[in-house]
Amino acid sequence: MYLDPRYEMAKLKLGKVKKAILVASGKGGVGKSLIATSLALILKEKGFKVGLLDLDIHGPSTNLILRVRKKPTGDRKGLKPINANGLEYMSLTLLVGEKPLAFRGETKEKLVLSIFAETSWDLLDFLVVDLPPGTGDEVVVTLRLLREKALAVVVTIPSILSLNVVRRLLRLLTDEKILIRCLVENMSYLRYGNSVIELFGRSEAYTLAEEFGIKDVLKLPLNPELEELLRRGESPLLSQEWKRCMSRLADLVTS
Amino acid sequence: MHEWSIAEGIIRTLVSYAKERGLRRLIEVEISVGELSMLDVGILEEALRMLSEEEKMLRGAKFTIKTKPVLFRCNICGSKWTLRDMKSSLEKEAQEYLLEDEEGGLDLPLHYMPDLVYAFARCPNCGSRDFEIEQGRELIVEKITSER
Ligand SMILES: Nc1ncnc2c1ncn2[C@@H]1O[C@H](COP(=O)(O)OP(=O)(O)OP(=O)(O)O)[C@@H](O)[C@H]1O
Ligand SMILES: [Mg+2]
Ligand SMILES: [Zn+2]
Repeated sequence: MYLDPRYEMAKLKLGKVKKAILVASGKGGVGKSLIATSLALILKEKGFKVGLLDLDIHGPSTNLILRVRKKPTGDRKGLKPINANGLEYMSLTLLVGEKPLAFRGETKEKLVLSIFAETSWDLLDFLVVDLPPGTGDEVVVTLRLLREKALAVVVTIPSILSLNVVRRLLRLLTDEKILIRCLVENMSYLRYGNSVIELFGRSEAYTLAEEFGIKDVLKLPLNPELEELLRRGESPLLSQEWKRCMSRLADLVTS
Repeated sequence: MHEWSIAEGIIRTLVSYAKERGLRRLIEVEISVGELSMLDVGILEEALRMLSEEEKMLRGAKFTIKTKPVLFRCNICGSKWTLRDMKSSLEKEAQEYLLEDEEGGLDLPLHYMPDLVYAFARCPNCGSRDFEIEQGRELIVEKITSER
């Protein structure tokens, strides 16, 4: 017999989380972490209780956007997420810093399970989860544990290379019966003076959304201000254009 | 002190196990605790005893807890080692990463997530990070004796 109590522990720990928003893509480097963090911050600004969980075990980056490096503390219930700009926040970087984590899938599956089993979230309206690219253990375990309260925000860019990878994730989410609330097309265009440049040419986002019955498509600009803000350690929401976009995304996921 | 949270997880696991199978009472439960999880077996036992009193189907159940030593095996050079062989280097590697609990005690992150050993350990023979945990990793319920 092999009964792992972590599944029940995870259920308990997630008991006070009302909804989980999974920010996923399948494709790497398309803006998941920036969008997940910005979305969490704007939801908090709108008055919700929000948690942010970084599940990108091999390449976490929400901690860099939030500029946090505090350690969580333990108690009878497990590990308490830290407070990061008003968000309840958890990431493995808080536990292992910059140390590399190299291991095979079985270990990763258990580690992700442990993260859910040990992190004791407070009462949350939304838990935003930043997922790594691909459809590996992090994604599979998350869907297993959060399927009843999850909705997905899927991020893509207008490149043909992204489209194909993202389609695989959309197929997985559809088969697992996760509501795909919105398809976000990031880096969709660039404002330059009075003109709008479509860097990757024609967008296929609407076709893709239709194929999977996704109600809303949100196009986001490539915005050079964002990098400046990140370098200065400031909130991406200080960009007015980005803030408007994130506010729109927040309205979609809360509607 | 998260032994309490684990005990609660175990109790819930047992209750749902019994319900799914229509069992009236669980008499004996064998639990294997991997050494790597660095749990305090005394606290765990106490927590299990107290929490099980609140569940009818677990009242008076006997909990047997065995600790399983950890055994590592390197995928590169094939050497095997135990937690003791590595303890001092592990503590040194992880000293900046200790987590405080409510009583001011300090724990290695592995106490919460045993698999994080991969962040702090390397093969003592060749230095590689590519190794297996052959046994003694986590806590599992291994055997249940029940009554219909
Ligand atoms: N709309 C945008 N405008 C400008 N820069 C952006 C935009 N979206 C993302 N970026 C930048 O692009 C890079 C990749 O973004 P991010 O790290 O959020 O992607 P990701 O999908 O999370 O990547 P990974 O797959 O590695 O987790 C970052 O430097 C980020 O700041
Ligand atoms: Mg990312
Ligand atoms: Zn070796």
